[in-house]
Amino acid sequence: MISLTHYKTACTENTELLDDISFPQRVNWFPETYARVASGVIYPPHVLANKVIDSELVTLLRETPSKKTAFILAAGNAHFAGIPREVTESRFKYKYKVLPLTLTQVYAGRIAQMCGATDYIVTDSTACASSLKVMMDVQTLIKMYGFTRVVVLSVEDAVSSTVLEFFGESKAILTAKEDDETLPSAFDSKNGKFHVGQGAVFAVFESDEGLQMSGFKPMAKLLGAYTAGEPCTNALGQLESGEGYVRAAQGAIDMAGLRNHQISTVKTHGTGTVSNNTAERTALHKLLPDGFIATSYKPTIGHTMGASGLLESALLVDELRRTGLVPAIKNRTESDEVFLSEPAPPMNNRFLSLAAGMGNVYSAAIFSVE
Amino acid sequence: MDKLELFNKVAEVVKLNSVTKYKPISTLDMPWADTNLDSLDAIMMCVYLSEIYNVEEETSKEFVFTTPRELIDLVETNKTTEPESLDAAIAGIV
Repeated sequence: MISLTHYKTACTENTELLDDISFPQRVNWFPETYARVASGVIYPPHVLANKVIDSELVTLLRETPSKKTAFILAAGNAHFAGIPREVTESRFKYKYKVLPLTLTQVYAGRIAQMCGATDYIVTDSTACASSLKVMMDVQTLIKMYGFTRVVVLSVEDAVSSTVLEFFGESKAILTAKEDDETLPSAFDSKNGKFHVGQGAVFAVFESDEGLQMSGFKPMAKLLGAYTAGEPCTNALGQLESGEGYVRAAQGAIDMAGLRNHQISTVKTHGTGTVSNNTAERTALHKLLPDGFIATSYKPTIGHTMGASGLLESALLVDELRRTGLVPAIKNRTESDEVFLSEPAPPMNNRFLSLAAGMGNVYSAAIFSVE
Repeated sequence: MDKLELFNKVAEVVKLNSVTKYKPISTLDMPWADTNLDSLDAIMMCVYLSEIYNVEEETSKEFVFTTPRELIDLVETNKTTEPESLDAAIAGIV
């Protein structure tokens, strides 16, 4: 078994309209992360990461025995917010002066040393699937290579000038103009699409042997994880058949040793775009014909990009432990028994978590809440 | 402003959350290798001190130093501003 023993999340429901950029849009963000970027000594992804890197927990990890410990930085891109192109002048354009720390693997090395997680140190750059994709890596390291602890940090600065421009150009986000008539939501005929959001998550996973050594208490179990691609000619697109989602979810269900009918709660990727609504809805009805309930966090906290999969899974673990309810999809106007418009109790303590990333990558993980 | 105190305060910022807590140095003249600041820390020290004293980035990139004093002297020589106090200096980098 693989246990989730600690997690800390950072995200916000607060939004602000950024109207002084080339593609005006509302974002879920922490303004302080950009307060002094012009100086070149403040780096927003690091400020964001510091919201979840708890010094007491880091010290505890260093001082608690573990046979083999790995560190994974799920950064979404090989270079933080890294689309290397010239962006329009705005208050979000900056030049960080400590160049080595803009390289995700260098930053990963620094944080891994802090955590005493030095037997294996890697980064992941599978776009918006990144943090959920590394659940497959956690599973592999623990089950195949005898690791007793894997520490995962996921952070990507979604509110960066490159991301704001990229999603503004691609019209995936709700623009300021659209915001007047449409609210972020998912699987809904009236409301849809998303705001970009800042977020980060720090999580610790341990094997059974690891738990015996550390004495840590499990908060959830990672039952199975899988990542898949799909044959799509458009690297920015998704097949309407939902094939990538089906492959990933079925892989995770198989890895967990479960049957499909034993999954009845889904944390969707749920971006609310037309293409994702179609692909993910189609896939879920194929996979879970006996019925299920599904939620999405992006309408509430924005799309936190690479961090979203694990961050949203941790939020659902939190919600289930606290209230015992699966939260509704914000701003959903339709009412059905599948895509939640009201919070609902789950049928059991398991849930399937999904994520997708540009470049035709899909990730799935199944958690059970202790 | 006491340069040794400034160096130690900036180093504390650089080593925040690090594996080994920064131990303040007692003299600026010790070899860099004895300061408990690694090569990445050295880059950060140079960037932060240059920020505090508003040294041109192109200039600070060329700094070569083997002791804390050599770094402080390079910054002093090329500075274009002077912070009002130690607190004001640190506020500029956190």
